[in-house]
Formats: sequence, structure tokens, C-alpha cells
Amino acid sequence: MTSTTPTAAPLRAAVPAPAPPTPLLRVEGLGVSFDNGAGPRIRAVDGAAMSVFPGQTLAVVGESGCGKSVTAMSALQLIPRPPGRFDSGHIYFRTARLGASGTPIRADAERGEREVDLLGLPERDIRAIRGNEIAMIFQEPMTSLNPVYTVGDQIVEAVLLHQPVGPSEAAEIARQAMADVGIPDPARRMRAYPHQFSGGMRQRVMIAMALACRPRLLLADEPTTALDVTIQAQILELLRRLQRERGMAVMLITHALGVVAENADVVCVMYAGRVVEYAPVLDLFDRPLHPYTRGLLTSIPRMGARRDRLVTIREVVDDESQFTGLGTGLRPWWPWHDPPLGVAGGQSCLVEVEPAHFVGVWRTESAAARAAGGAPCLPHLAQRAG
Amino acid sequence: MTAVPSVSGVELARGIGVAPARGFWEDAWRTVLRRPAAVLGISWIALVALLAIWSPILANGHPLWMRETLADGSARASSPLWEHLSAVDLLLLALGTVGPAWMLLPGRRGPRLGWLLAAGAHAALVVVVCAVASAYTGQRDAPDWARRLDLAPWFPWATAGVASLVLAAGLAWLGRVRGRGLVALAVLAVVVAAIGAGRWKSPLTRYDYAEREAAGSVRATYTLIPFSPDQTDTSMYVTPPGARSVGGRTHLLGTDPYGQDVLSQMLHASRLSISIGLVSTGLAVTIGVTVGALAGYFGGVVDLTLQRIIEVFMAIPVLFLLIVAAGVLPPELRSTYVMMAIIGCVTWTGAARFTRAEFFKLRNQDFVQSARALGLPLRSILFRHMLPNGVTPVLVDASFAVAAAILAEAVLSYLGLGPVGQPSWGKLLSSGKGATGTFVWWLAVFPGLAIFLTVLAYNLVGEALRDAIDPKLKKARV
Amino acid sequence: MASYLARRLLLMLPTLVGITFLVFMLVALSPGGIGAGLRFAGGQMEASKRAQQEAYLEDRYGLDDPAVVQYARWLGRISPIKIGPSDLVAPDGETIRPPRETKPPPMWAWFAPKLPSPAAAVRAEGVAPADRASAYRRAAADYATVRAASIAANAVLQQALAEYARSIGRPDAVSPKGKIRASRLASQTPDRSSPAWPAAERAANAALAAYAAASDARARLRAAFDAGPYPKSGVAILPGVRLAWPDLGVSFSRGRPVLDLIGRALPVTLLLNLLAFPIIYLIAIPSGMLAATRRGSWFDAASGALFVALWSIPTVWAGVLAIGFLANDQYLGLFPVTGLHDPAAQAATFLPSTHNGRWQPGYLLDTLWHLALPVSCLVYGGFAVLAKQTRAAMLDNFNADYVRTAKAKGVAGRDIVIHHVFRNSLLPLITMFVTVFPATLAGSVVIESVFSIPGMGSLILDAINLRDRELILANTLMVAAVNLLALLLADVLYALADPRVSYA
Ligand SMILES: Nc1ncnc2c1ncn2[C@@H]1O[C@H](COP(=O)(O)OP(=O)(O)OP(=O)(O)O)[C@@H](O)[C@H]1O
Ligand SMILES: [Mg+2]
Repeated sequence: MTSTTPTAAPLRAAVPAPAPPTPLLRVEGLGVSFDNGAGPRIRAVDGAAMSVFPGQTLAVVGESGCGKSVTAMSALQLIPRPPGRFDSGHIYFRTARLGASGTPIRADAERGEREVDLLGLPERDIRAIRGNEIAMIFQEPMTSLNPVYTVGDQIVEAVLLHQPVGPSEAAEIARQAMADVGIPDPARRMRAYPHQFSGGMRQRVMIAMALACRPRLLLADEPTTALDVTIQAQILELLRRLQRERGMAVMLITHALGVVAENADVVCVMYAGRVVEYAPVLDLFDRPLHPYTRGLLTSIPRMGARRDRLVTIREVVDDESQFTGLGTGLRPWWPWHDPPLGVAGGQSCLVEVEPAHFVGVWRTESAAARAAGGAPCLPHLAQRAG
Repeated sequence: MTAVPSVSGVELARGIGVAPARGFWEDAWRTVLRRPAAVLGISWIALVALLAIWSPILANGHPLWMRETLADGSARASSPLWEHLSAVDLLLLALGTVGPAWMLLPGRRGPRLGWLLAAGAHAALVVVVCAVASAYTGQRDAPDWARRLDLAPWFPWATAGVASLVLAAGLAWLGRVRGRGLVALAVLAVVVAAIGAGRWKSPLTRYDYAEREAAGSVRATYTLIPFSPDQTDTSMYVTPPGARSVGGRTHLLGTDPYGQDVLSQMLHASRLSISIGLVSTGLAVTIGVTVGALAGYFGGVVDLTLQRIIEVFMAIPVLFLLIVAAGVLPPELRSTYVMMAIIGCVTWTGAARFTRAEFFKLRNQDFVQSARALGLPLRSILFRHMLPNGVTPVLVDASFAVAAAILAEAVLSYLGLGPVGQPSWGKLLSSGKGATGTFVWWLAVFPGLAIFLTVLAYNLVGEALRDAIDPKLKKARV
Repeated sequence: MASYLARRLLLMLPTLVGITFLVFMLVALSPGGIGAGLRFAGGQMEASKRAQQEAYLEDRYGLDDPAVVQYARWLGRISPIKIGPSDLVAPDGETIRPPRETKPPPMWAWFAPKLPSPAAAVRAEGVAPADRASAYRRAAADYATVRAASIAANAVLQQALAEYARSIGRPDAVSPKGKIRASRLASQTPDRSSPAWPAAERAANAALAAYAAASDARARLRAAFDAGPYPKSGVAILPGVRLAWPDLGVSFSRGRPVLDLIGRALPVTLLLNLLAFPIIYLIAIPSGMLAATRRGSWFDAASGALFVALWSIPTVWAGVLAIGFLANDQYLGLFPVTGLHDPAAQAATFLPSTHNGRWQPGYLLDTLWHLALPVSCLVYGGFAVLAKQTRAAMLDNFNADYVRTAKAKGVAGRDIVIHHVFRNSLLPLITMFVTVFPATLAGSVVIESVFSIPGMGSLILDAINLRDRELILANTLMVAAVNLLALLLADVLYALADPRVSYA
């Protein structure tokens, strides 16, 4: 449960944050699986670990089905159970609140801080966190709003749930929230129904709803995937601005590496439910250490670099030589390879291969000795213009 | 992490751990068979179908075997039961015993099922032709030529033979039958013709065996239930279950106001219940699918016109139309077949609406467009390419439609508008009503229970089928 | 919305015409045809008397016209827009139409060079209005008498002509009903040597005389009518076009205005349905919701099985058993067997009361007591469809994205079920109304006949058994109108419930 807080010298263009060195959210060894009827169980998340610091943007990338959404939704217990099940791990969240049921949520005496395990919270307590301390916006703006209520009503519902205000004040807060996300004429648009909005506007409504209660952590699950490029840019710009103004932490789930480069402080690359690489953004783009990350990065077209064709991820990960060079006893974890001798049950672990740069490797004896216990913690903030 | 075998999401995306694909209907059928309720329902329907086939042998007032001492002192043995079996009885028995046995043999079942259906259709049509011809020539005020034909000994053979051969030839042409198939068809045609001609007219029925036994002139052995459904016993009006008749034989479920045995009537009525549901639903589906397919495929004016017609039919409740249609017919015209036709012609709108909606969606899909671009004939596009894709919701609903048709028959019978000339559960039930006079519980409880169980069985199968297919349809549409 | 409603109501008209035409033609083309019930009523009667009686009835109800003409005439009467000479309304509310023509004797051209023309009518001007009414009534009674005589004479002539046709070897010119087919004989010159000719000639002379008298009387009646003895019906909107109440006519079989009959029967049927519907929805929807929220629990399984079983019980079986075991004196005798009221309750107070120290149930309780079994039999079949639909819709919506959004906001489970999931599941439930309503309406027809309740059910069955044209058409019209209005209501409710649908 101890985290390795790096005290190493600042890396190029990335400095340790002055913010408290304890993370807001820590995901440790999370395992979630789903019942699949007649077929075998689906291990959607299989020992994932990551952490988010206040004011930081953690980007989670990885191909479809690697468990990004499931990880984020686990934090709010939004996984339908059954068919879902939490197999292992914890998601710790730092909160100043008492539990909604009136009892103090578990206090960590050692640290003198309150931390709760979100996975174990009773229904009433997790409800007090949802939308209030941690908000989430989803991939599908077209269907994520209830079609039979006005958008104003849907924002007001969130406000009334978490803030001690009356209906008229709540309406005012909702109007303000809509104005904040740049919806023109919010007082009138509040009375409109979701189908009367365009996709981009709906996503703005979702963001307004998520941010109306000023949460400390926003889980943004592919907020722009369904939108066209200009709207995408606007929405991301909006998120950046709001994050700056409020000092909110963001877990940004996305496929688009361009989005990662522009928005993230720290990147978490996932594959098959596990973290394969975890590093500050520039570090990762400059020196990807896991072959899968390399494949991901080489497969995107670059300005200026003229090539006849793009290199596919496949070509990179099929190349045996990519899997060497991490150091003795360290071999990048890859589910399609046979584990090295002596690795029990195909286990892997995160190892800080270079300072502030974690890679998922097979859990050999030497790897186990260097394995990061609990969650990898990188309180870095990328220095970015603007 | 877990002991059970498991896959990760990425593996799943690559097709690892995905259940092997099976045929649409095969998969649906397996899902249905996993539900105990549906299995019970299917078993009940199968039981009723078996009873429908075997009822003339299970329940018959004619002795199975009879030794008769003639006036001159000589003895004669005969089987009145066998002699009184009608062509329909015989054909059903033959198909009902040979068919299932043949189907149970290993190997591919599809073609065999096709053969059985073809044989059934052939036999049914021949029987209908024979029945119509015999009824026309035998009627009291028939023209002279018909009367002469009626007396001619060759006429039954000619009619049945020609009808059977022509129909068999038609089948051979339709099904492109070749080689050994032709031989099989010829044998079928001869057998059916022989049965049709051999049982041209039912012999006069007189159930005087008990009297003759009492007089000592015959010794008779009866089947399980020694009463025919039309066998009246003037001394046994409305007797409760267990009552004993003159010959010491027991009416297990009592008798009705005509002194007819309830159990025997119920057994024989199972034939009507099975057929009225299936035939009328088949008719309704045929009409509905045709109308719906035309409306959905052509759209425009055709659709508008057909839609108005459908709307007219849907403007009043189906039962109301049924009451009108059955009510305007005099009793002598309300035969079973007419009732089936009426129910079928009134209830087709549901199937038409489903099919129309499906065809509307299918019309613009690529495979239809490409079939059209290939210049396939309309018949082929509609029925070969679009129908298999669009008919599923109709078939799922057909099970409920069968149940509804059985209920409709019960209601019409209760109102006195039911089929005439054949025992039916609904008619029995209506004779037990006690609004004014006395309430006869055994006439209400047993037939009602039979209707209830049969309807329930169809509904259970329908529910299971829908639960199995609906998610698939939804998934296919996403 | 208003224009949408107007359009929908207008679109209902062709449907109503279509369904009444369909039903009418079914009855008209069936063996016996329209009015068959009237003819049976003749009983044992001398053949010629019987023919005259039938001719009178056919003439009275216009049964001798082709079915399509009869239907068109009916349409004209129920149409609120009337063209041509306006009808009058007698003080007792009866609609008075211009007198009809009398039919000339069949084959009259064989017997007379030309038809007798009516004498010039007396002009009625200058008669005081009060006297006009009595003059009209006198003329009407006159005309009825001579017209009946003319019809009877025509019927006699028909028979004589049929006899004649047979005697000259033309049985094909006689219809199966014994009427002469004029078109088959018209081209022939009559064979005066036939033994049947003198009788025919005698009958023809009588018929012609009767016809002359009738057309005179008609001319007088027409004049009395034109004098306007009573106020005109409706209001004129254009010259020659008037707006008036639809007239549903008079039932053959019951001899009363159809509107009265339906006015009594329809409320009974609607009462049954209005009692049944809330019960169906109030039981089916909550149990469907509960089954969905506790998917896979024993409640889910049990309610599903129970409802399917109930759905499969034939209404008539339930009715017969309920009457037999619960109502009949042979067994428990707890409920009344038939009808809607106790005869005694008609006189009793509406609410329960004590009368002479004895407790009286009163009209309301008595009615409910009579309705308990019928309504129970009517409702149980509706649960399954609705509960199953509720459950399926709820389950669909449980997995919807916006429910996830609501959860992520921190909305409590029960609020999600009611506010978000159920609110959206309402939409398919409203659509279900389209199947449930007609089924229940039809079910009530059956229930009424099982429990001998004098509603639309018995009216419909009687109308069909007796081939009562007016009653059949009006019943069809009413049932279809109620049905279509209910379906329209469902559409309007849908539009109100779903903001995405708008009929602006
Ligand atoms: N409710 C569920 N029931 C069954 N399986 C599920 C469920 N939710 C997720 N899964 C499975 O878990 C795996 C991971 O899903 P997840 O949604 O986390 O992927 P993702 O990384 O977000 O992909 P994408 O980029 O496409 O959104 C998938 O294979 C999916 O099939
Ligand atoms: Mg996702």
C-alpha cells in the first residue's frame, strides 16, 4: 500500500508538482470480470494500477476492449453486477467528507488523511461521491441524456441531489453551468429537450451536468470520440479551461494520441486489462519502452516524415528484438507470448525501469524485487504553453 | 485470477472465447428447449396431436372385434370399428404412425420433413376432393346425372384415382422430383387413391350392439372407451362422471344433454382443436405476409391502398368481425373448414403489419438492391430473398395466433356460432353453462380445462420462442 | 395539435365507411341476406298472405333494393350534411322525410298504355300552421293505407305473373323468391292464350287501380309536406345543403330508434371497460416493474407464470365456472347470476342506507355487486401482455446510457427506477393500449353474453341473428368509433409523453 513517490530530479519539460504528493485517486491491482453466458468469463480489467493527482490530467489509452471504460466506471461502482464482479484490488479516493450515512469513512491514521476504498463503499456512500466529488462524462452524447426530460431538469436534478439549495437556486446554478460550458442563451436552452441539441451541444450539456457540483475528479470517457474534429477541439479546450480554473483532476480516456499529447500530464497505456506503460507524457512520446507503446506511436502518421506506408502495431510487436533491452530479468509483458520460465500464472507487474517511467513486465524474480507496490505515482504536470 | 477459464477483452475482440456460431433457428430452438415450461407445452401439444390421430381407435362405439351368430346358425367375425373408419381417420393414422417413426431415423431430417408435409398436403387435398364429390352426387336434390354417377361403382375409384394422380404429378413438378422420388410419389398416390375410394361413403352407423349382445346374437370386444362421440343414449341424459350405461359400460367423464359420452367427444374434438388453430393461422399468415410484403416492398400507392384496407379490418375488434362472419352463416354452412377460413380471413392483419414493417426496412438494404440490380424476378426477390429475412417476427407471433384461434373457436361455440357437425371442446363447454338452468360441472370443467391447457401450451412455447428470438433480432438490428 | 387532431378525425371517416360497408356486405351477401329475421317472423301463414306481408315489410324497410343502394341510403341518412329537400322534425323528435314514390305494378306495360298520373295536388297555402300539421298527419295516414294496398296488389300480381311465366314454360323468369324477373320477359309479347293470363290480367287491373290511388295520395301528401307542417331539421349552410343530426334509423327487430337502444347499451359496455382498464393497468404495471427490478427472483418467475396462465384461460370458461360455482344456488350462490341490477335496487337509494331498520345495499353497491364477477372475468386476461411489456421495456431502459448517466450523478436506485426508467418505459406501454383496448372491448361483448348483461354484446348478437340492418350498421359504427377514438387517444397520449414526437 506504499507508493513509490519519485524524488528523482525533474525530467525534461516535466517537473514534480508542488501539489501535495499524495494522489487523489489510486487504483491498485484492480480486477474486474464479466459473466459471459455460455462462454468463458471475460477478464475486462486484470490487475490495473494507476493514480491521479489533484490538478493533473491522466490519459488512459489503449485499443478497444482493453478495459479503459471498465476501470473508470469501477471507480463509481457503475459496473452492472451481475454480470460484472470485482475480483481484486482497490480504488482509493481521498475525501474530506464523512460518509453519507454519518459514519466517518475509513481514516488512514498513518497518513493522517481520509482515504476510502470506492469499491467497498455501501450504496448510500458511493451515491454521495457520484456526481459530487467524482463526476463522469460518457462516450455517447447522443444517448447519455434522458430523452423525456429537459436538459435543465437533468442538470437541476444533479444539483439538488448534492447541494443544499432550493429549486430556484438550483436552476440558477444549472444556468450558470450551461453558460460556463459555452452554451449560448442558457436560460432558454434549459427548457429544450436533448433531441433539440446537436451532438457537440449535448456533450457540452453533459459536461455542464458533470461540473455543476464542482467535482474534484472528472472521469472523461472518450468525451470527443463521437464528435467531429472542430467540435472535438472546442470541447477539449473547454475541459482544459475548466480544469485550470477549478484545479480539478481529470482522467481522460481516449484513443487519440494527438489528444493525449495536447492534454495529458501523465499517460497510462493499457492492454488486455493491464497497464503496459506508465510515464509522463513527453517521456512516453520520446522514449516509449514497451513494444506495444512503440507500435502505437509508430503507427500514427507524422507531419513531415515521408513514408510510403505506415508501420502497423502488428509489425512492431511481432518483432522479437523489440522485447529486449529493458535490463536483465526484465521482459515486457505481452499476453500473446509464452511467459518466461518461472513466471507463475502469467503474472505481470509494473517496474520503474527508468526514473518516473513504469513498464509492465513479466513477474520474474528480479522483476518482483523491483515491482512497484500498489499504484504507480507520478505527480508530474506537463509544462505547456497557455 | 479466477479459477474458471477466462479471456480478456482483447482476446474476445480477436474472436477467442466466442461461442461457435449456429444457425439462427437451430440456436433459437435450443434456447427454447432449455426452458422447462416450453418443453411441457410442446409435450402437451404433442400429446393432443397423438390423441387427435388415435382418437377413432381409442374411443369408438363400434366393437373392435365382433362374433355374430347369424339366423342360419353360422357364425361370422368382423371388426365394425375398422369398417367404420373414414378415409381421414385412415390417412391420419398412416401418416401419424409412419411419419414420426421415419423422422426419428438418423440422418438429415429436412428433406424427410418436406416429404411428410408434401404427403400430408396431397392426402388432405385428395380427401377434400372426394368429400366434395361424394357430398354433391349424394345430396337429395342432385341432378339426374349426378345421381347416376353416385350409383356407378367405378365413380369413386375414378374420382379418387384421377385426383390423386393429378395432384401427385403437380407435386412432382413443383418439387422437381426425379428418379426414385417419382416411384415413391406414385406409390403414395395409389395408396391415397385406394383409401379415398375405399372409404367413399361412411357406412350407416347404428350403435345397437348392446341390444344385440343382450339378445345373445353377438359377442363383442370394445376398445378402451366404448363410445363414439355421436352415439346418443336416450337413457343417459346429463349423467355425472362414472355413470354406467345399459351395457354396463362406464361414462368416465359423464354424458352431455344428448346422452353422448363426454370423454369420447373430448378425444375426438382434439382433432378440431389442433387443426383449427394451425390451419387458420396458416391461412392468416399466408394472406398477411402476402399483403404486407406487397405493401412494404412497393410502398407508394400500393402501400397506401393496402394500408387503408388493413386499417378497415383493424377498426373493430377481431372478435366482433368473427361474430359477424360466423353469425351470418346458417348452421348447415358452418362446417369446420368454413370456420377455419373465417378465422384465417379475419385475423391476418397482424401478420400483414409485421411483414410490412420488416419489408420496409429490408427494401433499402444492400442485398435487396443487388438482387434487384441483377434483374431477378419480383417473385424471387420478394419470397426468396426478402421473406426469410422478414418473416421471423410473424413466425414468433404465430404461436400466439394459434392459441388465439383456439380461444376464438371456444368463444364462437359458446355463442352458438361454432363449427357444426363435429364435436368441439367449446361446444361441450357451452352446454355446461348455468346462467339460467342448472350448471353441469363436468361439462364445464373438463372441456374448459382441455382448452386452457392447450392454449397455455401454445402460449408457453410462444413466450419461449419470443424470448429466444427477440434479443437476436435486436442484436441484428443494432 | 389541433390540426393533427382534425386530420386524424377526418381520416377516420373513410375507415368508418369501409368497415360499415364490409360488415353490411357480409350480412347482405350471406344466405338469407338483410332482413331475414323479419321474414321468419311470418310463421305459418297462407302463401299469398305471406307474400303480401313480406312485400309490405320489404317496401317499408327498403329491402327490395340492391344491397349497395340500401347502404348508400343509410350513409345519406347518417351523413350530417344533407343535400336536397330538407327533412322535417315532428314535435316528438321523429324525423319526417319527403314521401317516397310508390312502385308501379310489375310488367304494367303489358296491361296499360301508360301509367295513371296523379291528380293535381291541392295547394296548401292559406291554411293555418296548426292545421297544416293535422292535415299532414291525415294525408300521411291516407297514403300509408293506399300505399300498403298498392304494395299488396303488386305482390298478388307478382304471384300471378310467376304462375303465368311457368305456364308458358319460362321458369327461369321467376326468381327463387317467387318474384318475376321483368327484364327476362319485357321483350316478349304476352301470350294471352295461356290459362294463367286471365288471372294475371285481373290482378294487374287491381294493381293499376291501387297504384293510381296511391300516387294521388302521394301527391296530396307531398303538398302537405311542402307546406311545412313542422320545422325543418338542421340548419341551412348553402342553398339546398343543410347540416343536421345524423339519423341512425329505427331497428326492425325491436321497433325502436336505434339511437335509444345504443344509448342504453353503450354506457353499460363502457362502464365495464372503464372499470376494467384501471384494474388491468394498476395490477399489471406495478408487477411488471417489480419483476423487472427483481429480475430472476421468485417474484419475477411466479408473476410471469401466473399471468401467462391467466392469459390462457378462455373467458367463457372462467365465466361459466364463476357463474356455476360462485353464483349458482347449486353451489355457493354468493353472487347474482345475471343482469346489472336487482329489480328491487332500482327503487332503492343510491348509497347504502337503512330502511325500516333494515340495511339496504343501495343502487351503487348493488351494481358493483352484479359487476364483480363480469369485471373479474374481463380483467385477468389483460395482465400478461401488459406486465410482460412493462418488464421488457424496463429492462431495456435499465441498460440505457442515460440511466448510467443518472447513476453517475448519484441518483438513488428507487428514483432511477421511477423517474428515469419507468418514465421512458411508459412509451411502449401507451402503444400497448392499441392491442389491449380492442381485446378488452371484444372481451366485454363475450362477458355480457355470458352474464346476460344488457350491453352492446347482446345488441350485437341480436342484430346479427335477426339481420337487423339498422342495428348492425349502427353497432358497427359505434364500436368502430369507440375503438378508433381510443386509439387516437393513445396516439395523443404518446405525443404528450414523448417530447420527441410532435404533431404541431
Ligand atoms: N456490462 C458488460 N457485460 C459484459 N461484458 C462487458 C461489460 N462491460 C464491458 N464488458 C467487456 O469488458 C471488456 C472491456 O470493455 P471496456 O468498455 O472497458 O473497453 P474499452 O477499453 O473502453 O473499449 P472502447 O475503447 O471500445 O470503449 C470488453 O471486452 C467488453 O466486452
Ligand atoms: Mg470505452
